[in-house]
Amino acid sequence: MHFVLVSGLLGVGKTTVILNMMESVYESKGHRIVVIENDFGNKGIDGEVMRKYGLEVQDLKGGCICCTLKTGLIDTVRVVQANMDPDVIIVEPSGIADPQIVVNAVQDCTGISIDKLSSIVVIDAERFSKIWKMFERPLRNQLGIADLVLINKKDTVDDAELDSIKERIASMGYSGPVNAVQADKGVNMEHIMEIFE
Amino acid sequence: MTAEKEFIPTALAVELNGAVEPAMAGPEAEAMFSSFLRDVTLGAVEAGAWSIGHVKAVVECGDAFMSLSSTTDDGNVRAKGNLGEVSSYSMTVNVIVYGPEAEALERMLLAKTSGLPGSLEVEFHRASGCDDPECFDPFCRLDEHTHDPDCGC
Repeated sequence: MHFVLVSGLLGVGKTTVILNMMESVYESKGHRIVVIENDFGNKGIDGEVMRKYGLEVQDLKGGCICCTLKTGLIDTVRVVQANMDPDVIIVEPSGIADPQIVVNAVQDCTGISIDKLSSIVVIDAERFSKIWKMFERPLRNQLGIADLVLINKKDTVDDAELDSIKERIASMGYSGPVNAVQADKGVNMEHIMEIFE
Repeated sequence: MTAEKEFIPTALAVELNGAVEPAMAGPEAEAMFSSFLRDVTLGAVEAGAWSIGHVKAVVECGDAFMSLSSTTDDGNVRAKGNLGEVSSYSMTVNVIVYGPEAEALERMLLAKTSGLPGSLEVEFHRASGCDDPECFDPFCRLDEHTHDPDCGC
């Protein structure tokens, strides 16, 4: 089973990325995919939207970022794997969760069969220049575990601004692949398939 | 704490169930809901939000639905989906912003909903977290949650 973590600050477009990505993965690979959401309980929007687009979504029991997330996540993954046996599990933590905790929890647990773990971090081009300094610590935490960075909403900035964002990301210590995308239109999203090879 | 307290937003959900008489055409209703979400975002800024985390909504009318998202303090709204003729609808709104107290956001939201047409039922849900004073996560919804001393916070 491939475990894919899609993290990023609030409002960066994680759900839109997942919707686009799942369509591509399903169409090209035929993989069965389940999404685990860490949202606003049963009053959340993201899981509801994904269900309306026909995706299988499990609500993450619990939700505390500091300790209960670990057991809640593991319990949920175990149930999903036992009952649904998906090829891919995509986890979308809430925009305030530290994804390192999720990675640690998955790597440390026993009883779950994970063949591959990938971490995608989504960044919002439209707001990056305004908020990166305010959220530098959580951003660094996210970039610290990223295998792929997607700069979403690329349509809202020019090339110079895009270069500036890439430079800032590099200055935070990230040296992996970076793709500028417009997830809601599927622009440049094909590169995301590389993590499924 | 693994996630610093200053990075914890105020999170509020509101469920709206409305009846519109006479029914509205889809495009008119879509514009109205977009305008409503824009007003909510601008209202959050007026209420003291120093950063918009995410203001978002999903509107359902029968089998049709649309999702709306606003993340910038100018209230720009991205919408997806289309509605047919709207005579009744249900709408869930999540407001997740940095700065204002939940009470201020509730007051603001209540004022904004008064601009929606027709009869309306409004129900608020606060994501106020659990009772553990060491847990700052507004999304924690485990009533029995107690802080794990071994969690590494």
